[in-house]
Amino acid sequence: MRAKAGHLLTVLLLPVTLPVLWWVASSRSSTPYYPPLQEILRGFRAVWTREQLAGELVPSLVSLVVGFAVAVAVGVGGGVALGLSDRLRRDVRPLTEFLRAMPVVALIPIALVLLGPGMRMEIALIAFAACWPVLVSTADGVRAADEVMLDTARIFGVPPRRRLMHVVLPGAMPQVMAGARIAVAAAVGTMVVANMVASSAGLGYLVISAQQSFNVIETWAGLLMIGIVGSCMTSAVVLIERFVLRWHRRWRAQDVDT
Amino acid sequence: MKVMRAEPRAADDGRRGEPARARGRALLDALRWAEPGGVVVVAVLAWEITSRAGLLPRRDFPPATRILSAFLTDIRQRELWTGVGASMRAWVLGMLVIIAIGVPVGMLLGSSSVSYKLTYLTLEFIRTLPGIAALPILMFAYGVGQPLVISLVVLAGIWPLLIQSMYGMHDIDPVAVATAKVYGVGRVRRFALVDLPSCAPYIATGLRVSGTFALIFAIGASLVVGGQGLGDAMAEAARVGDRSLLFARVLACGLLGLGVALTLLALERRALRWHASQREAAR
Repeated sequence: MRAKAGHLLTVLLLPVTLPVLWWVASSRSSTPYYPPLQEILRGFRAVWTREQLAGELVPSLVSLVVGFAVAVAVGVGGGVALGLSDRLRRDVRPLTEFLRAMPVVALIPIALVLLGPGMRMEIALIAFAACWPVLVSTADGVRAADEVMLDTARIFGVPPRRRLMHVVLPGAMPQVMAGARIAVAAAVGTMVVANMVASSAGLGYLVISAQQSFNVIETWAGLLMIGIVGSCMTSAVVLIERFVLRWHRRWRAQDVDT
Repeated sequence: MKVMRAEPRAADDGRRGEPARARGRALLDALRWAEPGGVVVVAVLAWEITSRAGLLPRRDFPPATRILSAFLTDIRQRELWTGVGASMRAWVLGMLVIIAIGVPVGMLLGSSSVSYKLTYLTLEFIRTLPGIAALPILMFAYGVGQPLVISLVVLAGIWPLLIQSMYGMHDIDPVAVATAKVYGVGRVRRFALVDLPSCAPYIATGLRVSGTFALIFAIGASLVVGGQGLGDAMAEAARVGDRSLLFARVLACGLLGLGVALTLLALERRALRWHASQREAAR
C-alpha cells in the first residue's frame, strides 16, 4: 500500500510541478512572446467570455465530437471487414496504404473547394484523419481473435453474427480502444489545422488571427484552451476505455506491471 | 505451430534444388499482385466514369484521365519540384534534429526507473496535444521561413521517437544486463552490445511514426503560413481554380507520403532482420 502511494507520488510529481515551474520561470519574463503565466491566466479569463465560448469553442467541439464518432464507426466497421477477410485486406491494400499515407493537410484544399468552409468540411477532415488508427488496429485485433474460442463457439453452433458480436469484437476491444486513443490526437490536430486554414470560427482560427494581430496574450489563451480540449478528449476516451474493458482490466494491470 | 515453422525451410530447399519451382513461385507472386492491381484499376475507372457521366459534379471532380495528364505535365515543371524540395528539406533537417535529441534523451530517461516513472505520464500526455497549435507562438519567435517549419516539424514529430526510445531502455531484459555485468563487460561496451540492440526495434518503430508525423507538418506548415513548400503549391492550384492541377498535386502529396512510409518501413524491416523471426511468431 505504501509502495503504491510512493509510486503514485513519483508519477504525479512532474505534472504538478511543471505548471509551478512555468509560473516561477515566466514570472519575470521580459520577452514579449513568453509572457508570465499569471498574465496568460488573467488573459484566459478575459478572452473566454460566454460569447467567445459559444462562438469559438462550441463549433470546434461539435465538429471534433461528430468527426471522431464518424471516424470510430467507419474505423471499426472497416477494420472488422478487413480483419475477417484476408483476401479483401490484400486486395484493397494499395488503396488503403495510399490513403493512409496521405498527409491529411493535403486534403484541406480539396475539402475546402468541395464542401466550402465550415463545419461539414471540418467534420469530413477530422473523420478522415482519425479513422485510420482505429481501422488498422481494429483489423489487427480481429485477426488475432482467439482460435480456440472461435472453434469452441463454432462447435457449440453459435451462428456467425453472434460469434462476431460475442467472441471476435470483445476480443478486439483492447485494440479498438488503443486505436481510438491515438485517433484523439489526430482528430484534435486536424481540427486545429482545418480551423487555421479555412474557417472563420473555432479554436484554430482564434489563435491564428490573434497571432496575425500580434495579440500575444490572446494567442496563449487560445493555445491553453486547445490544450485543455485535447486533454479532456483524451481523458474521456481513457475513461470509456476503462469502462468498456472493465472485464479485462485485471489482465491488463498484470500486463502493465510486469 | 510446428508445421508453420517447418514450412519456410522446405521452401528454401526447393528454391535451391529446383529452378522450375522457383519460377512457379514467381508466377504465383505475380498473380498475388494481379488482384490488388486490378482493384486500383477498377477504382480509377470508377472515378473516370462517375465524373464523365456527371454522377458527381464534373466541375469539382475532374475525370481521372484529366488528373493524370495534369499530374504528368506538372511533374515536368519546376514549380512542383521547388515545393517538393522545400518540404523535403524541412523534413530531412527536422528529422535529423528529432533523431539527435529524441534518441539520447529518450534512452537517458528510460535508463533509470526513477526518471522513467517521473516522466512517462507527462510525455504520454504531451504527445496527445496537437503540436500544430504551437505554430502561432513559433511564428512570434521565428517569423515565417525555414526555421519556423523545421521547429514545427521537430516540436510535433519528436514525441513518438522520444517515447519509444524511453520504452526501449525501460524494457531491456534485466538478465541480459546482469549477464553482461557478470562477464565484466564495461559500461561503454554494454551500451553497444546490450542497450542499443535491445532498443533498436523500439527506435525503428518510433522513427517510422515520427517520420510520418513530421511529413504532415513539413507539408502543412507552408499551407498555413505560405512560403515555399508542397502545401503552398496546393494552395496555389486552389487559388487559380484549376481543379485538375489541385487533384494532381494532392496525388503527388499522397505518393510522397507513401514513398516516405514505405522507405521507413523497409528501413525498420532491415534494421530488425535479426529480430524478424520473433515478429513472425508474434503474428
